[in-house]
Amino acid sequence: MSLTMRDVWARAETGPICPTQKFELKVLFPEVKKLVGKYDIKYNPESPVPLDDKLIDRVFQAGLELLTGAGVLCTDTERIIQFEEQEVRDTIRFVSGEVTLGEGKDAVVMAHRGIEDRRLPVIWGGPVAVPVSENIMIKAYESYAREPSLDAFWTGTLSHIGSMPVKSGSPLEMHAEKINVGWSREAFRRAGRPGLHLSGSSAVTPRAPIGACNPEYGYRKSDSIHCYMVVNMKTDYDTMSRAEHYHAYGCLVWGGGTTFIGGLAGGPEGAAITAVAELLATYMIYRADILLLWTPTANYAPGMASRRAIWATSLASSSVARNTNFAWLNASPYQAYAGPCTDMYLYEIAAPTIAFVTCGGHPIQGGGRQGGELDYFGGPLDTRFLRDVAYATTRLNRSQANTIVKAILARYEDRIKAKDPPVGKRFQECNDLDTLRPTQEYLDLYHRVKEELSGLGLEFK
Amino acid sequence: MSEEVFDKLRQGILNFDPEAIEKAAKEVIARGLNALEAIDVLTGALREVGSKYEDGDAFLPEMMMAAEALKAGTAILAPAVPADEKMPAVGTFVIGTVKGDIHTIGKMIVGAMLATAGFNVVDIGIDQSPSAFAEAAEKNKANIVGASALMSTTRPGWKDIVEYFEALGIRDKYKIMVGGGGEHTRKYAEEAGVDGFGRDAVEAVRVALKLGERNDKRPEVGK
Ligand code: B12
Repeated sequence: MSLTMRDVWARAETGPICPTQKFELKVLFPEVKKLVGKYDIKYNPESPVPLDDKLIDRVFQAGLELLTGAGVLCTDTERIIQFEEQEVRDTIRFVSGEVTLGEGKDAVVMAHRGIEDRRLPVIWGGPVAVPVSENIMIKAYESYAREPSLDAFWTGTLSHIGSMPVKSGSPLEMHAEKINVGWSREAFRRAGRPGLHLSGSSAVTPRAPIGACNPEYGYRKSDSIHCYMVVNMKTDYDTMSRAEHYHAYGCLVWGGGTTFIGGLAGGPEGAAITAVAELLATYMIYRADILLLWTPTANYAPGMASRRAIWATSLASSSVARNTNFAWLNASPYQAYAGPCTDMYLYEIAAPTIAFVTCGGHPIQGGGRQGGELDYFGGPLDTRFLRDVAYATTRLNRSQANTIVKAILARYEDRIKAKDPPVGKRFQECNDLDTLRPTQEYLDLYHRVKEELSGLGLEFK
Repeated sequence: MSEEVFDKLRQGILNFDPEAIEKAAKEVIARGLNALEAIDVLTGALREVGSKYEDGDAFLPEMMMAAEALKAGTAILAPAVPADEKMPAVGTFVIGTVKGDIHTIGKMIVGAMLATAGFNVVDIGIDQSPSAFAEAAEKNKANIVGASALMSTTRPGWKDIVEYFEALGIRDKYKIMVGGGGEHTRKYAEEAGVDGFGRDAVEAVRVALKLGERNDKRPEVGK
C-alpha cells in the first residue's frame, strides 16, 4: 500500500515513543552497524567510484532496511514514524522521474539519470547559501544568470541590510528573504532569462520562505524550496509543515539529508547507507520532487571532497541510480574547503563531479571555504568549469572515472589532512564588477587546470 | 591484582559498556582499591576513545556512549575518594547552539570531546536563547559556556549571549567560548568579545583546558 503525507503525520502522533538520545544511540547506531555487517559493506580507498554492482545493490537494500528497521524519529512528539518495506516500495514505485525547473523558454527538464548515463546532466550553480554583501548581490546574481552553462540557480544569503546583520527569526529575515528572491528575479531579467529556475532559501525560520511563496514578489511554482531531514533519520513538525505548504502552493520541494562520516551514522559505510535511507525518507515524509544526496566529512577531514566522502556519496548515488526512478542530484561539491580562484578549489569541484555524474547525479556547485564566509564564491566561471567537467564525464566509464578521480585526489588530499586549504579570493576579486566577467587570473587558472585534467584523460569538447 | 579490575574498567570504556563498568567499579570499592586511581583509568580510556575519533577510528555515537559509561563508573567511585585527595575534574562546560540555529553535529562532537578530556558537559541543545545559556550556567555552576553558530544569520547570537550575561551582571563568573563553521569564523569570535574560540574540537578542548585553569580574562581568540 502506498502512503500519503497524511498517513505519515498520523504515524508521528501514534508511533512508539522514544527519547531523542535513546533513538540516536540505542536505535539508529546499532541498526546501522548491524546492516553494515549484514551486507558486508567495507570502505575501499582504491575505489572512490564504485565498480561493483552487487555492492551497490546491497547498499540500497541496507538503506531501505535502515528506514524500515530504525524508522524516522519525529523530534516534536519523540515518536518513531515506522515504515514497512512494502509500503516504501509501493510509494516510490510510480515516481515520474522527471521534473521541470523554471518556466517558459528558460525551463529545463531534470530527469532520472543512471550509472554511466550518456545524457547531459542539468547544471546547478550560484553562491549556494554563502553569505553575500548587499552591495554586490544583484551584480553577482546577474553574472551567474548570464552564464549559458547555468541551468538552475541557487541563491546566496543576504548578510546585512544596511549596517544590520540579517538575523534568523527576526523580521529582517522575513524581509531579506523577499529581497533575495526579488533581486534574483531582477538579475534574471537583466540577463534576459526571466524564467530561470530559482532555488535555495537561506532563511532559517519556515515562515520566511512560506511568506515568500507568492508569484508577484516571491517564489513561483516553477521554483524549488528545501525540506531537510534532521540529522540523522529524524524530522520535525516545522519541516513537515513546510512540505504541506509548498505542495499546497504548488512549487517544487527539495528533499535532502546529510550524513557525516564519523557522526551519528558511524564511518563511511554507515554514512553511505544512511544517505540512502534519508533520501528515501525525504520522499516518504515530504514527497520531495528533487532529491539530494549529501555526505560531508567530519572533523578529521573537513569539506565534501575528501576520499571517504566521495566513496560514501558515490556508492549511495549509484545505489539510488540503479534502484529508483528519482530525479536526484548530488549536493557535493556544494561547498569547497579551499577558497575560489585556487587550484585546490577547482580540484574539489572536479573530483566529486566526475564521481557523481558517472554515478547518475546532476551536479551543483556553490562557494568555497565551507560555504560560510562572506562573498567566498567564484562566480560564473565556477559554473562553467562545473559544466565542462560534468559534460566530459558523460564520455567516461566507471573505471576510467575512478582512475581520474584518484589522480585528482592525490593533488589536494594532503591539504585537507593538514587542514590547510588555500584561502583564495572573494567574488569581487575573481570578477570585474563592471563587465561581470572573470578576471584574467581566474581565467588563466581555469585553462591551466582544464589542461591538467585533459592530461589525466578527461576529454573536453 | 588491581590491574585486572582496572583493565575491566578500561575495556568497559573502550566497549561502551556501562554495566561492565558498574560491576568493575563496585569491585574496586568492595576490595578497597584506590578509587581515584580507578577514575584515572576511566578518564584515560575515554581520552583513548577521543584520539581514536580524531584519527577516524571511532565515531560520534561511540564517543557519546563512552562518556555515558564513564558517568556510570564515577557515580560509584567518586564517593569513595577521600576528601583530602583532589578529584581530577576539570570543570563544568555548558554547551548549546544559538537561537535560530539547528546545526548540531559540531556541537555534539565538541561536547563529546570535552567529556573525553574530563569536563562535566551539560548540553542544552540547539536553538537556544541567551537566557537558556545563562540559566544553565547558573544552575550547573558552570566554569565555561560554549555557543555554537554556523550561519551569518545566527552568529549575532554570540554577541547576544555576551551582552545578556553582562546585563545580568554574571559575565565575569564565566568564560565564554564559541565556534562553528571552522577556522574562518575566528574573526567574528573576536568581534563578539568572547574569551575563547575553537576551529575544531581539538582546539576547543585545548582552549577550554587553558581557560579552565586561569582566573584572568585574557582573550584566547587570536592564534
Ligand atoms: C550539515 C549542514 C546542514 C544540515 C544540518 C544538520 C544538523 N542538524 O546539524 C542541514 C541540511 C539540516 C542544514 C540546514 C541549513 N543550513 Co546548513 N550546513 C551544513 C554544513 C554542510 C555542515 C555543518 C556541519 O555539521 N559540519 C561538520 C561539523 C563537524 O563542523 P562544525 O559544525 O563547523 O563544527 C566544528 C567546529 O566549527 C567547532 N565548533 C562547532 N561548534 C562549536 C562550539 C564551540 C563552543 C567551540 C569551541 C567549537 C565549535 O568544532 C566542531 C568540530 O570540529 C554547513 C557547511 C559547513 N561545511 O560548515 C552548512 C551551512 C552552515 N548551512 C547553511 C545554511 C544556509 C543552512 C540552511 C539555512 C538551509 C540552506 N539553505 O541550506 C538551513 C538552516 C537550518 C537551521 N535552522 O539552522 C550555510 C550557512 C551560510 C551562512 N549564511 O552563513 C552553510 C555554511 C552552507 C551553505 N553555504 O549552504 N545544514
